[in-house]
Amino acid sequence: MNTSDIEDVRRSLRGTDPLRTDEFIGAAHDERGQYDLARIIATEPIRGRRVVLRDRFFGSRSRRRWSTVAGTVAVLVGLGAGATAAGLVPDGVVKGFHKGGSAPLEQVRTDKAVMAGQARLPSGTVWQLWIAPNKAGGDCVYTRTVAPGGKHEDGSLECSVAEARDTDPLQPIWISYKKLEGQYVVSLGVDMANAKSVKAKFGLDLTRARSMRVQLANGSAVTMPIIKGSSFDGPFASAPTSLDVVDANGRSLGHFTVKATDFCPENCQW
Amino acid sequence: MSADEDRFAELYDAHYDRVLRYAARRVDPDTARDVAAETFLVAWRRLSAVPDEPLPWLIRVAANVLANENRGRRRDLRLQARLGAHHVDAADHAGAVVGVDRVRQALEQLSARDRELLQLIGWDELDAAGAAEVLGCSARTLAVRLHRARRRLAKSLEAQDQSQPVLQIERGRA
Repeated sequence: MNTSDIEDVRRSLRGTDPLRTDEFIGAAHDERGQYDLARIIATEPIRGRRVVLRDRFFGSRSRRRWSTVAGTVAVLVGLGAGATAAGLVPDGVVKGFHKGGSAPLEQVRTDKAVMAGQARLPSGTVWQLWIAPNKAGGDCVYTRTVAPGGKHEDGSLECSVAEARDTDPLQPIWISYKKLEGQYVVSLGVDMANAKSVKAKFGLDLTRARSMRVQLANGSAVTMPIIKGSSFDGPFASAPTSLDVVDANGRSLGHFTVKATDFCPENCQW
Repeated sequence: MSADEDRFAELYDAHYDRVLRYAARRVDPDTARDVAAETFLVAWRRLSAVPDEPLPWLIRVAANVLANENRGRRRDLRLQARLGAHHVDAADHAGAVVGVDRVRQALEQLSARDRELLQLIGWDELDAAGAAEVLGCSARTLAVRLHRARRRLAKSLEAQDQSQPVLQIERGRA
């Protein structure tokens, strides 16, 4: 290496830096820096299917993915479809979907957004899962939390590309679990044409139900039955679950035995 | 706090400012904050992949984030506005400002590839190995690229110097 080249370049560019020499020094500790740090640590490191960022920045193939959400007590599945049918997509959701970049993957058709599920935590916080198509032909999933009284809301956005739908036969259906405030949310995702509902038979005895039938929100992909889970810590996440997918006429579209693809321990958020 | 969180917090403390400054040189401050946050989100999610010497790796990720961000013309315009509103230290004098503008204009005449390399060295103060990692090339390749980019910068400066008397004549006529 010719060090004179480096020295010469630095000499030539001296004074051309658009930043002052002290600009942003200490920014890691200012309000925005600390806020971003807290938000990042609150997200979940990539495991299993969480690959969108890796895909975007490191070139591997995108896959269809889904978020796991947490909550308890009240299952409000079905309300979402009604709200979106009336065109009531909250401003916070629209803004959340627009948080992405300018790539087609993150250009979201918010007019097509549907709420796939909703839950209210004991604290009063509301969790919602919204799905909308993107310009890459895939979907974006926006996980929204609204503080009690609606005073503050937050969320995270994850997107997938179109090819994933056609080239990812491995995961037409998935199930995942998330624990919060001592209880579990079970999320089901189905990526099959004409799927309307899923009958799930869990591998372990649950507090409230060993099996349940779940209507897929808006005929799409995901819904969010919530199960009190104090008795199934630990092995629950790896217990196989039997899932039967049926269409609007009750015809079976497929039978699957799956294990959890994702599991978040207590306080795992993203 | 877990061991991962401790390690990440140290990484953030040590390098956030540099990553933010890298971004802020290329986009407006608000977008730069977003770019820095997204960069460290990638680092958090791929913590095991972050090398012992993390800054070039982080800047490479930031460059990829920026590549996405910069697709919009709107942000390019903001950058232009920022460059146009460049802060001038009180110590600067007129001659220095003219010199700065001259070098900036010369940089603008170079290819984006040359410009990025020169800025990594001159603004972001990366060493050769770091710049090579950011640009994804070997140290030997970088040395050649840097030498050529430097020569092209010198030529661009010469070309500007030669064009300057013409401008003075035009002003004189007016």
